[in-house]
Amino acid sequence: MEKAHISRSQKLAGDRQIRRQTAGFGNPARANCDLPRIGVFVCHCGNNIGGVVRVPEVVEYARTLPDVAYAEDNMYSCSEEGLSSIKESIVRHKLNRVIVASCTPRTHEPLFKRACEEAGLNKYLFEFVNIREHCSWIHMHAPDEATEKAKALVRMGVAKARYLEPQEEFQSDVYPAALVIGGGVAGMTAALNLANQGFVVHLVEREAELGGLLRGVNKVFPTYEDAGEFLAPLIQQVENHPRITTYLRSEVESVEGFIGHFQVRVTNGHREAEFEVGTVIVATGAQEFKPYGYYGYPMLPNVVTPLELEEMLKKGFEFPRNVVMINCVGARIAERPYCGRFCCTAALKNAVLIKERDPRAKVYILQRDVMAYGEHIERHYRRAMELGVRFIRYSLDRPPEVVGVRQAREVKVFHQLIGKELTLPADLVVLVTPLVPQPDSEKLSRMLKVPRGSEGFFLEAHLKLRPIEFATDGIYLCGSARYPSNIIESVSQAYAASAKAATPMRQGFVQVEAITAFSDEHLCTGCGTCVLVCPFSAIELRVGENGQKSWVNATQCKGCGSCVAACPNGAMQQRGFTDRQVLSMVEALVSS
Amino acid sequence: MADTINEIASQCDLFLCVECGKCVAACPMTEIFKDFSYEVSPRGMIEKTLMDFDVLTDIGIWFCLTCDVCTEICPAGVRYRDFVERVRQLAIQRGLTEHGLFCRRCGGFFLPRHTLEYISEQLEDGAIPDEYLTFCPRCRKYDFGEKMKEAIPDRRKALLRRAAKL
Ligand SMILES: Cc1cc2nc3c(=O)[nH]c(=O)nc-3n(C[C@H](O)[C@H](O)[C@H](O)COP(=O)(O)OP(=O)(O)OC[C@H]3O[C@@H](n4cnc5c(N)ncnc54)[C@H](O)[C@@H]3O)c2cc1C
Repeated sequence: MEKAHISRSQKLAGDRQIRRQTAGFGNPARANCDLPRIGVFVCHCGNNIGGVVRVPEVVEYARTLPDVAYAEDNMYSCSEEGLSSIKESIVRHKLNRVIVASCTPRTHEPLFKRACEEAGLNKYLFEFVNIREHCSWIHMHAPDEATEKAKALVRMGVAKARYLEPQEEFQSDVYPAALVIGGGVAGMTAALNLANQGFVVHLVEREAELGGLLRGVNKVFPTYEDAGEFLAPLIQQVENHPRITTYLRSEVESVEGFIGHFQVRVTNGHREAEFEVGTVIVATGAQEFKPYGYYGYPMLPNVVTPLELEEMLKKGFEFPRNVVMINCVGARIAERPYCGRFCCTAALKNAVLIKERDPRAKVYILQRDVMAYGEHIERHYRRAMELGVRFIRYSLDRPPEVVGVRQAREVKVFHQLIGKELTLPADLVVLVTPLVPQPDSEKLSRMLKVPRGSEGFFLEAHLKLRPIEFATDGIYLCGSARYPSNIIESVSQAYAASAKAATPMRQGFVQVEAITAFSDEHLCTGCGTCVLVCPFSAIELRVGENGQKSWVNATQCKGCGSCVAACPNGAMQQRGFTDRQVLSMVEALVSS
Repeated sequence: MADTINEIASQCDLFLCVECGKCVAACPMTEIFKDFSYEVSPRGMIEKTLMDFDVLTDIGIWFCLTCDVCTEICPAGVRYRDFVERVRQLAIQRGLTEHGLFCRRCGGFFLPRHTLEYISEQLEDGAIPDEYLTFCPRCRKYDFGEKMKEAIPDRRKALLRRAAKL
């Protein structure tokens, strides 16, 4: 298996070389040394642009601009016909810079860049001018002004194009092994999914056993199966998998490098292990909030947390008659504003279990909203109600009160609608608390250079569009490490994160767009401002012959330009957006 | 005693109440009774039942007009009208009769006192004889029949009797 995998990656490497040779970066001599010969192609986009902007006038104007060797208009520049016209013109007019003034770079820039490449021109000698969204659409009712603005934008494009330089994209290979931190249900699922795809996985678990929080849980919603029975086969698969190495009672000591090549050191206190991985998955889960100081916890022995209740239910001892659960303890308050998400459902689950065991038991759930979301879970809510579990809403203005000296005896709660304080008998009080971040999550966040949100959970790159990866390439996250998640969610996230991690490993390389930043050694004073502002942790200070200088890791750089703007010395420049290029545009704009 | 109420509550699915308040919005009592409040509304009565209040002696159970709109509209499937009717029966069995009206003829419960007060208020004085309002609907029909009998002449009565025999 192992061999088969390596040979596949070698094959990939072979493919890559072929790809590089055929990619065709044009003739650098023609692009670099010759005087600029700029071609301008202005698109009508049917009526989209042509209906407002007077396209022929813009073409006529472009011809008057310096270094423009050729200009034409196309009905649709992106059509087969338009593209071949661009390609032919590059050859016929010996163009070494190309500008298309059309719809939007979002969807169409790659298309035109490919056309340039096919005509033997480096694709970084292409410049996009957006005259649909910036002119014809937004100034739909002002054709004169829209036309003038289109001319100005073309003028700016031409000014910049004169300073464009060919760039070479580079690829960096990705080592086909992954590090998974945390051996809960999320980490184990991610590890198995990667290992089953043929990747080597290093799974690091702090505790002596795999399983995470679920080890302490009795039965799990929505199926009411035994948590132990659910975990056992998963643990067994992980432990017996030939490609998974599990490090128990161990912690990650350091992680250095970037996507493709992370150097990892793991220690269990006595021994260290060192290995290399291409990707990292953070699945460190979370912890139960221990409500010290709330409602007599931990002084009153019959006031317990959900995990303690799970433990009691597991032991199966004689269960008390009157149970009061107080939801949202330590959650949705000023200092911890988030919702624990599954705690309501876990409370419902246990209420049902208690009622089923003894229908005469009284179970009260004091709540501030029942967040029992999801189709399966609505059923449990109904089931709890049918069984006679009583729900009472309380407000933070007048929270419940646990009464009792050595033992909780009753709970007083103000019923907001009836307008009376009710006294509920209580043999057991459960304080339903949310999960909180792992205490050492800050350390891990610093080690991996990935952010945490204001609540201390790890923060994804984008809540909606990139929910299971960090902004830093090659590092992914899943399960309760991100925010409290139930099993269904943790497992789906684990599949998603491992699929994401598998992509670059399967491909064997990452391609880097040549819009990265670079630092001019002579200007850099090593102040480190760029290091601080870089959102992708792509910059570091390196001490060399000339002292401390900043160094950009192009594999990690996303070309956002933050460091360029922040550098007090102008030492940072960005390919495709150099000071000279951008300032020439500004000059062109102000000198009409 | 409380257990019996609990049984009725369970059979009428009161436990399913999600406190949405649709029953209150739809309930005609809101329009009719000036002293209407959350306390006597379907939702309030349900909540009090669930919280083990003594609803048997609560005047709230004597407010309902038994139109059953609440059951129609309830998204959770609570049958409040059925619940109220059965709790009233239970209350009467326990001798808690002060809020009910009982038929002059058969002695059966037919209307809460509260409702009659409202009806009387709405009627002009003397529009309907008082005695009419003291019968249950069935006895009212019976009484009407008896009066009609008296009004029919004897000869026709004899004819009718003969026809009945045939
Ligand atoms: C009382 C209770 C009842 C629950 N009931 C249910 C239920 O009925 N149904 C349901 O779907 N969900 C339930 N859950 C939620 C369920 O436990 C979570 O969905 C699940 O545990 C999330 O898995 P995870 O792998 O993300 O995190 P965890 O289970 O927290 O696992 C994380 C693992 O990472 C390890 N770790 C942490 N930091 C490090 C580090 N720095 N280095 C190495 N290892 C580290 C931890 O030791 C742990 O083993 C319940 C939770 C609680 C608290």
